[in-house]
Amino acid sequence: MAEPKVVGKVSDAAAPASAVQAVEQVKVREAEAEVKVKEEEEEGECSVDELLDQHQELLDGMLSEGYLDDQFSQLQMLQDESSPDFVEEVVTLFFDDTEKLLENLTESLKTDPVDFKVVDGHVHQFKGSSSSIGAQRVKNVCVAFRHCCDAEDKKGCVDHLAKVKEEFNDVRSKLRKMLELEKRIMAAGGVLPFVEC
Amino acid sequence: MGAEGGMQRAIVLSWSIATSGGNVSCRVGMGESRDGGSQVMVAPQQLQLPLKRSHQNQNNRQCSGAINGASNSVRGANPAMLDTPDEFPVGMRVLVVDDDPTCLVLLERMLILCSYRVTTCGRATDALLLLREDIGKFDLVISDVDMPDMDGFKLLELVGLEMDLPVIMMSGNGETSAVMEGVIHGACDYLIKPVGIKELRNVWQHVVRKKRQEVKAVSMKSIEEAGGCERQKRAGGADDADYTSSATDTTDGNWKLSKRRKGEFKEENEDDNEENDDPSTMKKPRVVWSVELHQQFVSAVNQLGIDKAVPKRILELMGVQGLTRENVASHLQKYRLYLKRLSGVTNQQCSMSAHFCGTEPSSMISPDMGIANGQLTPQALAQLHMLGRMNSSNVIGFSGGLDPTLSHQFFLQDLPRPPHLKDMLKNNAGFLSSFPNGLQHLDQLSEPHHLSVVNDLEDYPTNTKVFPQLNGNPGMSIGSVGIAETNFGSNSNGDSLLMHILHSRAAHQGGGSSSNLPQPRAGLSPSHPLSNDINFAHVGSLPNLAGNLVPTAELSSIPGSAGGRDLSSSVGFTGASLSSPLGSIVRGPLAAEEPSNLVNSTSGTFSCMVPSVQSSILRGVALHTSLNEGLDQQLPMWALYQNPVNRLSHGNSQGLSHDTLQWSGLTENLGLGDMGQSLSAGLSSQYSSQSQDHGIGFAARSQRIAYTQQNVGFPVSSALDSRMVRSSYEPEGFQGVL
Repeated sequence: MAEPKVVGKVSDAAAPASAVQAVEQVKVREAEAEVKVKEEEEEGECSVDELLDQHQELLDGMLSEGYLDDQFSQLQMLQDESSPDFVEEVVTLFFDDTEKLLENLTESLKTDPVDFKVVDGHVHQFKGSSSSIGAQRVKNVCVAFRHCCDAEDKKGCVDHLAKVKEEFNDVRSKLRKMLELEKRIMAAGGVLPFVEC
Repeated sequence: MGAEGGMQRAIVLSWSIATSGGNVSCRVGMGESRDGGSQVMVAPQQLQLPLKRSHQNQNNRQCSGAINGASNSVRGANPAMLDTPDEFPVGMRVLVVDDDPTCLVLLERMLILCSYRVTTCGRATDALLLLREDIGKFDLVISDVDMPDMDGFKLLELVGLEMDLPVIMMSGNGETSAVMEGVIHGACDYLIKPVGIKELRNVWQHVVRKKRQEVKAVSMKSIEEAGGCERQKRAGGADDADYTSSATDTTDGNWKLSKRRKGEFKEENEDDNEENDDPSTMKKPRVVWSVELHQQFVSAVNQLGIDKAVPKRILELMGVQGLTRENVASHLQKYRLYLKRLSGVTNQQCSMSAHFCGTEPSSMISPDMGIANGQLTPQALAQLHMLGRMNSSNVIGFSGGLDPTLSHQFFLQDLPRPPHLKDMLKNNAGFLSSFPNGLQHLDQLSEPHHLSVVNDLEDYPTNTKVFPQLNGNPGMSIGSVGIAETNFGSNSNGDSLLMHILHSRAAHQGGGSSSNLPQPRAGLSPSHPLSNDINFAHVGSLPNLAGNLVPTAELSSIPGSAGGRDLSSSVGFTGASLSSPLGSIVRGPLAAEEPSNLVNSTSGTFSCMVPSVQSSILRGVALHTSLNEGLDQQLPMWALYQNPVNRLSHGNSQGLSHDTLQWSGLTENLGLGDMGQSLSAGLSSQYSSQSQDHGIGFAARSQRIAYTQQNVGFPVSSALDSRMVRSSYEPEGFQGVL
């Protein structure tokens, strides 16, 4: 990359005053370019490792803090070369589906009177999908949410709706970050540790 | 095609299971590249199919018909056939139903990794469509419980009934009560979400298990032919299952049938002993209510009087060792329900007609169809009737006047049956072809009535358990000469008819002897060899008929072969019980020889005892045929029903001429032995007005078993089918074969 630049520059510059000057300029450019390349190289190498580290850290954190549970780890194991983006696909599907579900849920709580069976239905579904993904905290809030539905506690339901949204947003942002890291790792030629070979 | 494939597959599976000790041989269809780019590679050595993920159904709740190429291709070319038999369960076709797309995608992925061929559906209704489109398309269904468009249990029931596939339920709710619900509804397994891949790896066992049950069922028939009593036992057990069915009052009439079809031996026995899903009860050793046992039970009950029959006394009267009061009590409960059903069931022909109409002849002959024991189930008879009537292409070209028993057969046939059985049916197609001839005879013999009757049947909803209505047609003993007098009018007739048939069959079985069928009831002319496939083939088209026909006519399926059931038995029944509309139909075919034993439903209600009737009736029928012999002048049930047999005349043997022969042969093959002949004879007589040639010497046979007119004490409830029927009459010389 550096070279073309150098060359370009050299050519762009009006004919150097002298050949010596031109050569010097080229050398400088080259040096600069080299440095640049080196920097880039270094960045690249670190990147992959760094990325991997970051990725692992994030994942471990989510697991230990309960955002994710073992189900998520199992999900990761379903990814392999025949399905290289499986985790991302499923997780994205979960996000999209949940958004719709949350909309429905919000709507159902706005009706008057509230049909708790309908609300419960939504929550039940949310509980199912979140547990399938391994989004543990979300699932736990769903469980509590259902109790409010059973008790027909509207206030409780509304509170839990807010809670579940919060938890969902949390886990979503973390997962998105993680997926992003994964993409970069793979783009950089790295191999995700959890992927089954 | 699908059906064929299914059949092939089924056969292969069955065979494999039987021969290779559990290895199911299947061929995996080669997958083609699909739009989604998924491919199915079927490489024997690969356990993990390198399927590319299909994105087809991601985010969409529609059924993704072929998530992976395999599914689609399978559909088209090689349904259920695995290329690598030894690689089972590789390539096993699974249908997953779940309204949650996330779960669906996860399950799909996991199943693919288990090397199965997966199809996903976001809606139960879509799933049903897919399944109905081709019964042989899938090996296993995995379904969520909570779905918006249909309750998972409902889907479970329907699948079990119509397609007899193993179904696994899934739910986030893992409470005992929820799991219990699953069990009650017939789920093979119940998984709690989130489901892990480990749990899915071994789901193939459910498929194998089911196949084994079916294989066993078929082979049992063979064994029975040899004279074992096992069949009876199983039939009894099966009957019980029917009891259960009726007890639980499933909405889908096919349920019974399917119940019969599937675990007939095993499951039904299980049902028999499961009392209200009480876990403690379920653990008790199972009592197999064999035909004989049931016969004894019924006699005892009759003696005491249905109203006064208490378990304790019944037990005393029966004097069977090892039987507990609880066993009797539960059996009695079922029996009562059955009777109630019989009396209450009027036009359950239901869906049968519709159902049958569209069936292929081959598929119609379902060994399974109510032929639990090679006996024609009433349904089959019903079907046959319809068949005749409909004269649809599906049918063998009957020209109306189907023998009720035939109808039953058909009916039964048409009822859901395991895919592999279809194959068997096919094999018996031969019979079928002969059948038409016979039927044509029938035409001549029968009155125009038949046709009209059949028409009526059409109105009946298909897929119902058609139970003969015992009430109402007094004197309708179809084909049961002796029985004619018996109170067909009441359900009891039907009952006796059934019993007769059962008895006769049992007797027949019991010793190939010419036991006298206690009651020449109902025309189950056991002699109808038709039973086996032929009958079935027709059955399909006689949905309505089935309803009216006395289900009792279970024809024993021809063991070994695809369940050739003795039409005769069923025929007998149907004849007898045909209620008014059917009556006429019944009239014809049953011919006289068999006493209207078959006609259990004198009342004319036709109870399609498809499921239960099957074995018992067939048995009865078998015997019946034997009885035929002795019943020369017995009018066929049909005849009895409306126009006195005279018309039909055939004494007892008019077989269907060569056709009959075939049938008789069938019955023999089935192990019906004499019974078969009788059956055939019965049938033949009906069909061919005077051919003396029963085809297989029915006449002779029939003589052997003398029917005694029995009084069918109870109305035979369709639900109970043949099992129940047995009760009413005292078989003579019956060796308790039943």
